[in-house]
Amino acid sequence: MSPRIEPDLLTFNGIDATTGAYLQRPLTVAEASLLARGEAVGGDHLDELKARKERETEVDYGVVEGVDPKDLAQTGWGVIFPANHDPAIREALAPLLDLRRGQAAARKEQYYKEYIGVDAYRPNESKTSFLRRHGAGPGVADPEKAPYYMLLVGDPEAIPYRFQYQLDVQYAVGRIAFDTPEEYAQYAHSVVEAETGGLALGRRAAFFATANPGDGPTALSSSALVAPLAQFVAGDQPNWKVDTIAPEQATKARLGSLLGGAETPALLFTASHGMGFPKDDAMQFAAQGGLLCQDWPGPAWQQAIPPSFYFGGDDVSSGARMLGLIAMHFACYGAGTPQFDDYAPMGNATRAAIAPKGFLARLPQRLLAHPKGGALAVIGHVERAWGYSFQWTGAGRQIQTFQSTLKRLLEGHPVGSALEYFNSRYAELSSDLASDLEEIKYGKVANDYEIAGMWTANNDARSYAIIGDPAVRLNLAAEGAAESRPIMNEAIQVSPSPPAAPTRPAPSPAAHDAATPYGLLDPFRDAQSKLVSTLQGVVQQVGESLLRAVENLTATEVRTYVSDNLQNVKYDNGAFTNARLCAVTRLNFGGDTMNCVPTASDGKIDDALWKVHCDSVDKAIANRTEAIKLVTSAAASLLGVLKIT
Amino acid sequence: MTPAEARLQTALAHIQAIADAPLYTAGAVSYSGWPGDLAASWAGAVSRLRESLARCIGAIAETRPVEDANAISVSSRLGDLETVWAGAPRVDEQRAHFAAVEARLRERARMVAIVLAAVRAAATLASLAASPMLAPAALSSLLNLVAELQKI
Repeated sequence: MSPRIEPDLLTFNGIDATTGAYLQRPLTVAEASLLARGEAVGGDHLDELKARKERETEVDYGVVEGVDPKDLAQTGWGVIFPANHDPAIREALAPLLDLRRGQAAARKEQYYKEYIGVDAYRPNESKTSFLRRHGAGPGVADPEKAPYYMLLVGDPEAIPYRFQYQLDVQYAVGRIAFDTPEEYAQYAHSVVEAETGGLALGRRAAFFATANPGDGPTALSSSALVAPLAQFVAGDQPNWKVDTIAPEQATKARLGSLLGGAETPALLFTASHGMGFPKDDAMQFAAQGGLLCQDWPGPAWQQAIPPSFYFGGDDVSSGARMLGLIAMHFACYGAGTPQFDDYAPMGNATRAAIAPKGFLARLPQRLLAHPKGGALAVIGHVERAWGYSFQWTGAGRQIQTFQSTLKRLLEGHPVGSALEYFNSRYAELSSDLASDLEEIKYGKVANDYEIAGMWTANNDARSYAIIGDPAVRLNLAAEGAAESRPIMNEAIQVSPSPPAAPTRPAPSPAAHDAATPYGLLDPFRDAQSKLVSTLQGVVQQVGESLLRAVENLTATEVRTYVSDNLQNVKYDNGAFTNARLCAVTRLNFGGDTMNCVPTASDGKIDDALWKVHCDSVDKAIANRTEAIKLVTSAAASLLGVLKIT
Repeated sequence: MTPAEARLQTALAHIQAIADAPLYTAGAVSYSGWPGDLAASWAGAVSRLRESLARCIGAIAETRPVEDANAISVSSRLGDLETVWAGAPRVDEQRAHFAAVEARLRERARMVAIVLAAVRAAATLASLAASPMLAPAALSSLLNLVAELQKI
């Protein structure tokens, strides 16, 4: 029997791992309304939210009109480091930064920006101050002033979540934070491999939702969020295979199969409780935000939650194969945890600390930095998620927000662009909520249902965050083509941090030559050495492509068709449609030839058509001969070049 | 020669010139905030070179039917040939159509030649870049090479 959901109770997502109880008792509508009325959003940020709401009829919400959010050369891309960052992290990310520089600066050099050193994020800086310092103001993102896609590098202690929320209203923002430079390098390597190394994922989306016995929040999320979303995607994207995992099958083992196992899709959506731990608990950093699976028997289990019930970062298999995955988790703390409780009324001066410091959840960190090739991005919740927001009667658009986000993801938008709908929703709800609260302050009678619903929906929309580069997207195989998901086996090693670059004038060219010992110039020589090897890597890649082409020269086919109306003929997926196939010749590399000969209506060979086909065969043979000559000479030439260098 | 072939021929000549005389000293970049800036410029140029080559290779591999009033043909990069005829063509119609197919194949061959010339140039520049003294000029040449590729 499904649990009864009390209409007057607002439920939080999240289970306390140490007690098995809900992290937060359900609030009555009146209590939530009181909390909302104690919250004060004001100043520049509210103005920005209002301005964004007024612009929401625009097609592309975040970036100036006329810019294609799929094209980094039009949107720009930037990376923000905190002040006093570890130089080894910049070094570890170099392959990703090189890739993005090439894409974003293809037309204008200033569309690629690294906010580092004197330009880095400074402690306690607001979004407005940061942008003003870099010549950009509030309002729609203008890549001439600041790139639309912004990657924050560092944990929430170095760059606070609040800055991320604020910047995210106008820009497409993601964040990465790992424990070691090697993990940064691993993530960078995965993104580069996914975008340049032949990753081609099948069009498969999986929806995983728990509905634990007797548990209201998961009953709600599985039936009112995940089921309609899966149904929407199946209807809206007929070329996608949609796997919906029934709640009774939504176990930890099954989730392991979806996160790096045999069932790993291109896109994974999960809805479940997230795990929470008390501040200072030894397990908090390692396991908070883990996904509580169907193995949990529900609220009747009134004791500590064993790790066998939830899937956390330590459960990601060392052999997991998930390069290119994008995952979205509706779960409490699924993306991370702030240091202070976001749901204490801001009028209250003492916001309780819920963790010793803000941090990212371990699960997305492990997924992104997996040594065999990681996920590209995880969209998750910072803080507790509300199991009520999408059920609120005024929140019909909240489901639409999820739908629109998934639609954009599946249609190839970068994840930051796809999430714009949540930013827009946040701006709309915040602006409306602030207006209503202002009116209540001056005498309007509060409608608790409306205020509470708006407040919870607003908090949910605000708190979705991208863990990963906001410019990553699903890398899909052509329709009908086979899936290719490479495994990366190359061990990533990061050299110790180089000394800071000296500030000095350009050296005199006459003073050095290639054989000179460099001494202080060693960092420069190292950089040069890496560049040379990168350039040679380009040559190597082209050479390998040519060699593969030679290997594929096994047979040539000639097909001749006839059609009464050429205008109706189309060439799709390697074959003509609306045309009658009359003759086929297959010439094997070893010299074997196979013919299918055309016949007329009387059953005799159609001589005229056969002659036309034979002429085509002659042309094809000549063409193939030229192709073989060209490719073999190309391969030989390239080998010669590589030998020289 | 078709207009497309002529355009590619010109591009090939420019790229070949860069490949044959790699040091493009005019307007060579300075060391600027050496060494970070030069390294970053190099990395950006290499990344753009990679993209440009990928685009050229994609153009070689792409499927573009040759169409006229009598027939539609598609030739794969490995030599497969598929043709739809509007009934049995006359000899002159057949000849005209095959001439169009051959022009497309020549265009493709020129694209391959461009890729090869660019790769040869890049490899040569890589060896020059190993010398700090020559690196700025090599970078300048590489940028010039990328600019030529981006025009195609």
